[in-house]
Amino acid sequence: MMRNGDRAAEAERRLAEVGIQASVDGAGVEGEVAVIRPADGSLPALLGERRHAAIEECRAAGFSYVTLALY
Amino acid sequence: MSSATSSDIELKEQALHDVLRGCGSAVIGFSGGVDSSYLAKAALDALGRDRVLAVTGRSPAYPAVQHEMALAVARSIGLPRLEIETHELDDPDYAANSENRCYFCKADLYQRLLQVAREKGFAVVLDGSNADDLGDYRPGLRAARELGVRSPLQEVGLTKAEIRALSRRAALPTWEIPASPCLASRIPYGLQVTPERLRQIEEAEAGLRALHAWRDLRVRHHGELGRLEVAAEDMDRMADPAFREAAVAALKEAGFTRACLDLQGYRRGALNELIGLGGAGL
Repeated sequence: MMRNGDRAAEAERRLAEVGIQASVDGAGVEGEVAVIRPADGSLPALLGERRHAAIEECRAAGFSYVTLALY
Repeated sequence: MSSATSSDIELKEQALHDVLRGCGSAVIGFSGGVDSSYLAKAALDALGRDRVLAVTGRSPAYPAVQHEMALAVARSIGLPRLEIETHELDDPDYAANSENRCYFCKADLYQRLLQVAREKGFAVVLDGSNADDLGDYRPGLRAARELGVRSPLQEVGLTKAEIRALSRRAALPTWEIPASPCLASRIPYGLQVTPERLRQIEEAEAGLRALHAWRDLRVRHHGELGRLEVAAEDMDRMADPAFREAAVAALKEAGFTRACLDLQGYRRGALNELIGLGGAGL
């Protein structure tokens, strides 16, 4: 099983490969939640047409939940 | 709705009234949700108000917004009603929040309802489980069967959609309300259910509801992180920085230090995904 930091790095790499520039943190009691912080200006796309791609890539990296940082 | 479907629903409603008349008298577990409200109305119609008692179990896991709906439904249909305190949080098996949490909660509730029925002379205890619940992971149903609690909506095959249609026809205010399960369903299995966590969830959801008329809304508790699930159609609200700031404030005021929006959106039983049970009805 991948460690939390490894999963986050893997998710970032996968997101970049599909053109989503963002940083990813693992959060939650067991690091089960990917928290994506998109690069400036890319939030609307992440809420729209790139949403499913982001979910797919972060789940492939081993996260159970894929989320957008609100803070 | 097609005429064939209407006819099917009417047959099921008729069958429900037959089942209820066969009960003689009934205590109904009444949360004020879609299912138990319709069941209470059907029982009133079939048995009359002297033979029906709706009992609401109150605890920190029971949302205040749901309690308000229970009061509104009871007023609107003249439903005889009683409130009892339940103490599921005192049960270590419940508080440990295993996959069987609902079993321990429902077992406690049903035992109290059975006691009320015995003391007040009612023949049976009924709950509002419906036909769709048979396809879900519902340990609470096991408690019902073990204790002899009947589920008439399930017995006659009424689905949630059909119950909503019948509720609308009966002018029940619950016909279009979103499902509102207990607050403990927002806490991942294995993370202790505590009054403080339940309070955080309830306050965060109340704060968010004050901002927008969400189609669906859940705040899932992941320790310091509050994970917001809303309907996909409502997600674009978060593109507005001022709105996002207000949403974060609502979560922080409730005691979460971090807040995030689930990109998959609201789905039933999202926390069951961690244990491989898919979309059970939480």
